[in-house]
Amino acid sequence: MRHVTIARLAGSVLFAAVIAGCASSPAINKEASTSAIRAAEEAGATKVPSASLYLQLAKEELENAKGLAAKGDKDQAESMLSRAEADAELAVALSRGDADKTEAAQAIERVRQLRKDNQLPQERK
Amino acid sequence: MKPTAYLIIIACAGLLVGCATAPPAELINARQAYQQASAGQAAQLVPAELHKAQEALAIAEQAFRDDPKSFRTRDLAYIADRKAKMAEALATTVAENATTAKANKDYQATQAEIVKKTKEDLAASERSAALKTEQLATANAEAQRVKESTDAEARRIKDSTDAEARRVKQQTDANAEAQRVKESTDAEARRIKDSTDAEARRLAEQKSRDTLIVLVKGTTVVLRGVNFEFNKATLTRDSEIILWRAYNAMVGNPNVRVVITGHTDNVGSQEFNQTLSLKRAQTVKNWLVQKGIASNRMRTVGRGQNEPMSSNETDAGRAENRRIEFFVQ
Repeated sequence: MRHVTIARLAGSVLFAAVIAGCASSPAINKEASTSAIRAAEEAGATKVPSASLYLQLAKEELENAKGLAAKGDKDQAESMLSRAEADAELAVALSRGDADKTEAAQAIERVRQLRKDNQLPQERK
Repeated sequence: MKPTAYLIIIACAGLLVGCATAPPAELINARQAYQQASAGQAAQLVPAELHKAQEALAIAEQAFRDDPKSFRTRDLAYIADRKAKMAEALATTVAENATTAKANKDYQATQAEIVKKTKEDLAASERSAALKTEQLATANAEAQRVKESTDAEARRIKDSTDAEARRVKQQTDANAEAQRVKESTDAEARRIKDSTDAEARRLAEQKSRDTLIVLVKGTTVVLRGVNFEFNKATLTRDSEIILWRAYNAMVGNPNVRVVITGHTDNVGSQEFNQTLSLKRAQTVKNWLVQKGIASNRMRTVGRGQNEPMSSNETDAGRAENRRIEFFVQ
């Protein structure tokens, strides 16, 4: 009789745990990936073709992570968040690289125009 | 064969199967990305980032060895791929920044070069302007010197010309006065001479008219007062007085014959005067024949200007040379 009671108690506890598990997904830290995505957007990734691709991937991966977390697969969700963070950071780097490339081209053009306006020979590259 | 050997063979086969498991696409991509990044300028420009990519790839490789098919292996490989791409992107950024920095430096150097060149041009312009100013001053001084010299020469020439003009004017005035005096004197002299000559002729003619003509053989008688119209063989009216005296002498001396000779002065040509003198002699002969003198008693000759009695330089002389002579035979 006592064994039956313990078995019923353990079953109740396990049931409660399962209910609790189904009621709320495991917590995951999305801070790093969302911050990286926001930084990419602020860096103008949406306007840079090469960067916008990775920004889009990062967003999709973030959504995937949320989905995995909702399914209770915390490890895979966090791993997916690492993907999103990596893609977002790459989008930031490519956006800034594009801006730097534009700035470099403009700087070279300024020099060329200055030399032209003052009738100086163009320097060889 | 013992069961243990079978187990070893199965384990080795399992191990071989495990090792031969194909790597996931993420890992393949990560390897290629890292190889590309390390072959590029990332190793030189962003070695720390490339090192991170290398570490991420090593972790992914280890995960692949530990659990080739796990999601964790794929995700770690995926992240390693992105790290490698990140290194390459950052290397590009560094290179672009270096390009920008060099361009900015070139810009500043160009500005300095422009400033230097501008200063040199300005200095050259100032030197040129100074040289031109100096040349202009020299030219102006030379022009002033030439002008003063020219003005002085012009004044000297003007003074000389004025003096010469005054001298010429004075000379001209003197010449005009002398000419005027000379003309006046000449006119007076001619008037006096003409008057004298006229009086002389008048006296000579008067003398001739008052003188009888005497015909003596072997002599020549000049019929003074027998005159003709100018350049003609026509007798003037006064000439007939003398011719009547010649007629009377021929009538009074019927035995004489005469040679009537005509003479002229030297005005006109030799040939004209020769003809004119003969015609005048024939006129005299014809007049006498008309009055009744036998033609055979008279013969005519023209001597022209060849035998003047007086000088042809004066009117009186030329008047004496224009004459008719009777040579008595």
